[in-house]
Amino acid sequence: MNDYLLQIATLAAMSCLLALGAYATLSAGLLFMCFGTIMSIGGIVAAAVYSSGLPFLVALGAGGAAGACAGGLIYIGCSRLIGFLFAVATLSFGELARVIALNTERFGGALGYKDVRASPSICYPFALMGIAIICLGIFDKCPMRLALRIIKEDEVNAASLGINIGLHRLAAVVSGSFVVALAGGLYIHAVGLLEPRMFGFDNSLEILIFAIVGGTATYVGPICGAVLLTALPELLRFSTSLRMLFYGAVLVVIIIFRPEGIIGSRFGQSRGQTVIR
Amino acid sequence: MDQIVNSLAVGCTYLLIALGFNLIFGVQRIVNLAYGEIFMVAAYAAAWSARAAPGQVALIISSAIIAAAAAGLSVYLCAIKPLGEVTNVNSPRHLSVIVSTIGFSIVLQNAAILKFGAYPQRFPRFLGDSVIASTVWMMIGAVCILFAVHMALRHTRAGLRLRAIADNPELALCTGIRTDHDKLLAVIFSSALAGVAALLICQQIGVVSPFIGSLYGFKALVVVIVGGLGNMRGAAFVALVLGSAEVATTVWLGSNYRDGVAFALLIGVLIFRNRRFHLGQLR
Amino acid sequence: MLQVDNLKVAYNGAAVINGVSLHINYDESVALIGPNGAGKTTIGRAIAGLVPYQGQIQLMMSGGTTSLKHLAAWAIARSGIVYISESTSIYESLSVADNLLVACAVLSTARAAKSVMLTNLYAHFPFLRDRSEQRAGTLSGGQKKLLAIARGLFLIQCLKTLSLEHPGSVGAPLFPLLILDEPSHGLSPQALDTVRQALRDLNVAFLLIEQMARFALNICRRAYVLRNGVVVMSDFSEAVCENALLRSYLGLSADRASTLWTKS
Repeated sequence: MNDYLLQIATLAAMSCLLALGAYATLSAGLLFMCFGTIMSIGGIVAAAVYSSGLPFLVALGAGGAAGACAGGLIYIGCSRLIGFLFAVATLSFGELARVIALNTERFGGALGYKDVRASPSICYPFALMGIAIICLGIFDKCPMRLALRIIKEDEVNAASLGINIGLHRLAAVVSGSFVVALAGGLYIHAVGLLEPRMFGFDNSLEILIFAIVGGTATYVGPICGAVLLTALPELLRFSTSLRMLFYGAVLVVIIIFRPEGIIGSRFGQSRGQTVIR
Repeated sequence: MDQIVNSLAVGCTYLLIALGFNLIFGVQRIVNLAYGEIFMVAAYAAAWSARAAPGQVALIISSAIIAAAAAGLSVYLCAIKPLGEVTNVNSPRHLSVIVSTIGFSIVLQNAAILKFGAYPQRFPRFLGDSVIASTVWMMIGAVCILFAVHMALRHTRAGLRLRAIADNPELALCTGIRTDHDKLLAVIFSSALAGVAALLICQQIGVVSPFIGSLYGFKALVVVIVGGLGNMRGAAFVALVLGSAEVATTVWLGSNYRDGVAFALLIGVLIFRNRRFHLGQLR
Repeated sequence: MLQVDNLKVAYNGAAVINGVSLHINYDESVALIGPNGAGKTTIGRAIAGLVPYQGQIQLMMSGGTTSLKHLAAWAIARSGIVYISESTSIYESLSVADNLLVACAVLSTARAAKSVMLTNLYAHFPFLRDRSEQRAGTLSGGQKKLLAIARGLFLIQCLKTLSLEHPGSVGAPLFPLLILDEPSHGLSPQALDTVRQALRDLNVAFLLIEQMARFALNICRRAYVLRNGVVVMSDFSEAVCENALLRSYLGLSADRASTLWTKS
C-alpha cells in the first residue's frame, strides 16, 4: 500500500513541476499550448544524455536546457501573434511535433521512446519540487513578478510604463519551459517510456488544466491543482477516459464559476506590493 | 486525374465543416472549439438511427440535425453564454471561452469513448452502395449547402440580421435587432450545418469514431483562420487548397504525414503572413 | 411625451449626470446643447437604453405610462426611439442598400410601403441611390454619417407605417424620436442643410445633441442647456438666444443673436 501511495506522490510531485511551468507562462498572460512537446523534448534529451553515461543531474539539466531552447524558439516564432491566434499557433506546433514524432524512429515512432535507464533515486522529484517552490517564493518578491502581473492585466499600460513586454514574456516562457522539460526528464525515467501522444495537445491541455484549475494568481494554486487532479483520479481508480472526462468537466465548472481557480487571488498575495493601476 | 477528384472530395469535406464554424464565429465572435464534437455527436446519432431504421433517409437526416442542434445548444448554454459577451477577439474573456469550450469538448469526446468504445465503428452508407456513389453524393451535398448558405445570408431577412450583428453588434442592438434571439438562431443554424456535414462526410468515409470530432474540428479551424474569419468564399478556397495539399502529401510522403499538413499550413500562414485579421464580415 | 425625471448616471463612481429632468413632446424638436463633457451624449445613451442609470425615463401616452428603464436597447429602438451615435455607426461590410434595409429585416414592412419610403429618402439623399450596391465601408466619412442618419430615418418611417397598418405589432407605445448625437461633427454645411430639410419634410421628431449651439437653436423649437451634468436653462430657442449669460457660455456674440432665429 505504501508503495502505491509513494507512486502517487511521485506522480503528484512531477505534476506540480509541470503545473508550475505552465503557471510561469500563464502569469504573463500567454496561452502557451505546446507544453507537451516541451516536456517530451526534455524527456528524450535527458534520457539520451543519461543513457550515454553522464550523471543524472547533468542529464536533467541538459533536458531542461533543450526544452527551454525549444520553448524560446517557439515563442519567438509566434510572438507577433496575439491572444487566441498565439494559442492556436502553439497548439499547431504541438500537434505537428506529435505527428513528426509518431513517424520518426529516432524519437520513438509509434511505440514510444524506450531507450531509458531506470531513475537512480526516488527523491529527485520531491527535491526538485522543493527547490522550485523556494525559487518561486524568492521570485514572488522581485520586481519582475510585478511586471508580469501588470503585463497580464493590461498590456497597453504596461508598455507605457516602460516594461519591455516581449523580453519579459520570453523570460517567462523560457523559464516555464525549463521547468516543464525537467519534469519531462523525471517522467521518462520514472515510467521508462515516452509515447508520441505526450507531444501533443491532450498532454499540453492536461498540464494547463492543473494550473488553471488550481489558480493562476499565486504559485500555490498550480501546486494544489496538480496534487488534486493527479491524486484524485488515481485514488478513485478512474480509467483514462473517465479521468479525461473528469478533467474536462472540472475545467468547464471552474472557468465558469470560479475563473481565478481554486486558490483565488486573495490568498497569499504578498503585502507591500501594490499593483499600479 | 484521380488525384484531382480526390483533392476536390477532401476539400469538400473540410468546406462542409468550415461553413458552420464560420457562421458561429462571424455572428458571435468566439472560436467554439467544441464544434468538432457537435459534429461527432450528430454522426453517432445518424449511425444509430441508420442501424435502427435502415433506409429511412428522412429519419436519419433529421436525427442527425436534431442531435447536432441539441449538442450545439447545450455547448452554448453551458460553456459560452454564462461567460457573457465577447467583444474583442483577443480579450482574456475570449480565451476563457475558448478554454471552456475545450473543456466541454473533452467531456463530450470522452463520454463517447466510454459509451461507444475508442475504436471506429462502421457507418452505413445509406445514400449509395459504393465509395464512388457516396463521394458524389457528398460533393453534391457540399456544393448545394454552400449555395444554400450563401443564398440564406444574402437574401433572407434573418440572413441580413445575422450579417448586421456580425458587422457591428452594438449598432444592431440600437437598430432594434434582438441580438440574443438571433444569436440562438445562429447557434442552431450552425449546429444544423454540422449535423448535415456529419451525415455527408461519415457516409462517405464509412466510419465513425469518437476522435473524428477533434480531427475534423481542427481542420475546420485551420480552414477558417487561413481563409479569413467569417469569410465563406475564402474558406471554400482554403478548403480546396488544403484538400489538394493533403492528397499531394499522401502521394509523395505517405499517409502518415497527412494530418500534419493542416498544422504546418496554419503555422506557416500565421507566422509568415502577418495580416490583419478582419472581423465583422460574414460573406 | 417622453419624460426624463431626475436622471443620474455615474461611470465608475464619478457622477456624470446629476439629476437632470427634461421632457420631449410628441412630434417636437428639442435641442440639448452645452460645452464638451457636459454629459449630453450620456443622456442620449441613457434614453436609448445603452447605459445604466438611476431615476426615471418614461413614455407618457394616452394609453398609459411605460417606463423605459428595464427595456432592452432593441425594445427601445422598436418603440421608435432611434439613437444615432456620434462616431459613425453603420455596417461597414454591408452594402449601402443593405444598411438601410436592415430596418426591414426586423419588421415585416410591406413591399410597396418600403419602396415609397426609400424613394422619399433617395429624394433627400441622392447619393444613396447612386451607390446603393457599394460596400458602406468605402464611403467617405461625411457620407457614412449621412447614411447613418438616413438609416435612422428609414427605421422610424418603417415603424410609423407599420403601426398605422397593424397597430400593436410594433413596440407599444410608438414614440418616434430620432436622437442625433453631434451631427455637425464631420458634416459640411450643405450636408447639414440636407439633414435639416429631410427632418422637416419627413416630419420626424428629434432630440438634437449638439455642441454647435447656433445650428441647434436654428432648427429646434426648444432647448436645454447642459453644463457639468445639470440643466442650467430650459426654454424656447429664442429665449435661449436672448439670454446674455448663456450667450457667453455658448460663445454667441450679441449682435448676431437677433439674426439667429429665423422662422423656417
